[in-house]
Amino acid sequence: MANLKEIKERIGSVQETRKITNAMYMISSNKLRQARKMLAETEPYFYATRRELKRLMHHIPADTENVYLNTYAEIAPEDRRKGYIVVSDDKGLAGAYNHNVLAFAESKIPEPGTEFFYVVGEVGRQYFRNRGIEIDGDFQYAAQKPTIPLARSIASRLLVHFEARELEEVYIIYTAMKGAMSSEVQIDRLLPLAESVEREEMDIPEDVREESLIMDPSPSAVLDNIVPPCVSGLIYGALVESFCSAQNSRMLAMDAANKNAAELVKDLQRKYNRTRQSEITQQITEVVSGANKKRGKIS
Amino acid sequence: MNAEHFFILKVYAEDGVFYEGDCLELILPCVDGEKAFLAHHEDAVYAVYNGTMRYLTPTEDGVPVWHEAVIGTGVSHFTDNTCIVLAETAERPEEIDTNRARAALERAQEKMQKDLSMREYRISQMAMARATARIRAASKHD
Repeated sequence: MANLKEIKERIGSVQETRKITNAMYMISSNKLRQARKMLAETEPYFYATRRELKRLMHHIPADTENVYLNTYAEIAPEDRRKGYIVVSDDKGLAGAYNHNVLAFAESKIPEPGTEFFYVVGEVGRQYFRNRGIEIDGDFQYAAQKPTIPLARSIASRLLVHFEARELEEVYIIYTAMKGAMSSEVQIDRLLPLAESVEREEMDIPEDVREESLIMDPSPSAVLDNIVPPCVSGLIYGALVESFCSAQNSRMLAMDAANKNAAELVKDLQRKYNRTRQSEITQQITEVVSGANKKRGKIS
Repeated sequence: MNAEHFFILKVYAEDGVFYEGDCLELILPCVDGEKAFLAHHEDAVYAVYNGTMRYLTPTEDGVPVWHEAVIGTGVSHFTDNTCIVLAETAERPEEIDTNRARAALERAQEKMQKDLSMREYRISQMAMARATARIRAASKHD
């Protein structure tokens, strides 16, 4: 049986760990609240931008040349080059959060076409490196603190590849919150924009124009100003969703750790008491039997 | 001024709603120069460039007041007597930290002088335009 000192030390160490997990729990819940607030502040802008883009697509003359209107529909599925932005977290200790999103990303490899991975977060980068899957090495973004400039920088990187016809499709794989407590891995297409695809399918007869809309200086210039913020908006939204999910998973994981620690301490405490009791009993027995022997000798 | 000369101005920036309310006249920095808008402007979309936006708002005592805002690139859409301005950033000149803006300008200039890829060149160019617009507006305010 373990001795008293050892048990006491274990209780101490479990309590120390519990303090850490408890602190992590509180930090996560605080960060979650902050990220939610930031997302709420940007929402009016992004919703309005998307609405605007949708509306513009109905008015853009059929002969407009703009790189963002390209859907590259003529390229066969096996020749398509697809870029995937994979959003993981910078740290572990968040339950299955990282694993879920990375396993999903990996499942995209057998699909037709060539995949290019752009990974956000250190855990994801390590994962891909360990598996020998090539990722863009310059793409060094942290998942902590999603900001608009960060999203803009990511967006401009991928837009350049799209404009240069190096990528025909761009997706983002992230984790979205489902309700208050659970989250789910999700994939969204960033490029070509859903609006451009819809426009291609709309098939407006060229001579019939609905209400005309002035676009100054040109429809193409207006598109140039509205598409990049739309893409960075989508990325920002995904980053924040992921960040919230990561914090949420971490909260749940830490909560479970706290509960486990409490249980462990309870068990150890009981063990400690039992050991102490049996030790005392033993000592008493020893004293009594010693005394008895002595008495037996005297009499 | 009677009520017919008003229009509703909505300025949305990435970090929140900047202004929502009545407006008498709006001057926007556009890609090819400044454009002024009055109430009942025809339906139109304009590409907005980094610069200073000015807008005239009615006050309770009847004397309209001009306001300034430094905005980033975006678009504006005038329709149904409502103007929506969607800009990357929107700030009041008095909120701008001149030192920060100047540091950003220097950083952008330095970056542009180096050998850069197209993408980086474009980012620096935008950063420079933003910084210049902010410094100009802030120094006028001082």
